[in-house]
Amino acid sequence: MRARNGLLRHPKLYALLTGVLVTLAAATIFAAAGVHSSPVVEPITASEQAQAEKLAIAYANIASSDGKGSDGTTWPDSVVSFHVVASSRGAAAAFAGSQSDSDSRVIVAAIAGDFTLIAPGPPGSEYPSGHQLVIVIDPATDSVTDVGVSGEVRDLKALGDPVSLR
Amino acid sequence: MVQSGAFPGTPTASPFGFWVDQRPGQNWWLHSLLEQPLQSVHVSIERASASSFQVYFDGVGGLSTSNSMASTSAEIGSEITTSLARSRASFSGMYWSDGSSWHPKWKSSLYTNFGHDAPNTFAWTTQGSAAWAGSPC
Repeated sequence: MRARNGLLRHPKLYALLTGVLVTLAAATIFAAAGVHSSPVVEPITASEQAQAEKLAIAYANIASSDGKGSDGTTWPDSVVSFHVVASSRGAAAAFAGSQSDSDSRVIVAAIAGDFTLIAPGPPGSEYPSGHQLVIVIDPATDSVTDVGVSGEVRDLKALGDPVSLR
Repeated sequence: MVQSGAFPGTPTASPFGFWVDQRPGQNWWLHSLLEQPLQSVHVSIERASASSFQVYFDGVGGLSTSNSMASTSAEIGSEITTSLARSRASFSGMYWSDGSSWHPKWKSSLYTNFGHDAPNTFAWTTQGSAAWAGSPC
C-alpha cells in the first residue's frame, strides 16, 4: 500500500456510492509483472500450512467450474498441485505486479488447475481465467489480501522455498 | 485494465475496497485495500510512468507495475452480476488529465445512474494520463 501523497496534489474529488467502480481500460497491454528477489523470512509453519490449505480449497472451489455442488472443504478434481511459501509483503507484491514498502510476512499459496473467477472488470469483458490461482494471506489475521489468476503456472521459488501440499 | 472500487459485501463477507489490474497471459490480480469503506470515497487512477499506474482508494492504494497499456477509455459505474439485480451509483464528475491540465467530461452538479443501465464511459484519442471520478469537495 502507498500513502495518498499523490492524491493530495490534485483537486479533491469523491465518489458518492457503495460499489462504485472506476476502470481505466486499455487497447493493448504489453508487459508482464516482474518478480523481485525474496528476502529471508521465517519458514511457513504447520498451522499456517493448514490455514493456507483451508483458504486455498475455498477459493479453488469458488473458481473451479467443476466445484459446483462442492461443500468447499475438499479440493476440486481439476486441481493438480498446491504449493505454499512464506515470503514478504514486498516480494509478494512484486510477484503480483505491484509494489509495497512493507516487510511484513505473508503466506503465498499457488494452486494449479483450471479456474475462472466471477470478478470485477469492464462491462463486456470476460471473467479472468487461467491455470494458476494464487492467494496471498496475512498470517496475522488469516485474511486473504490478494487474489490472482494467470494463464501460466508460475514458480513460487521466486518467493522462497515452497512446500508442496498436493 | 486498471480498476478500483468497492464490493458492497455479502451476508458472510464485509464490504471492502480493492483495486484490480490485468496483464498479458490473463495475469489478473485483485488487491484488497481496506475493509468497511465509507460510502463517500476518493477514487483515482493515474499514470505514474510509462509503465505503471497509481491507484488510490480513499487514502490507500497500489501501483500497477510493468504495465505499459495504452489507455483508451475510462468508465465509472456500479456492477451487477445478474439482470435481476439493481444497483445505484451516484457521482458528480469524471475528469481526465493530459498531463498538464484537467478536463471535465460532465459539468453537471450531479449525475446519477440507476438500475442496470450502461456505465458512464468516455474515451479519448490522445493519450490521457489519468482519470478521476467524484465531485469537488
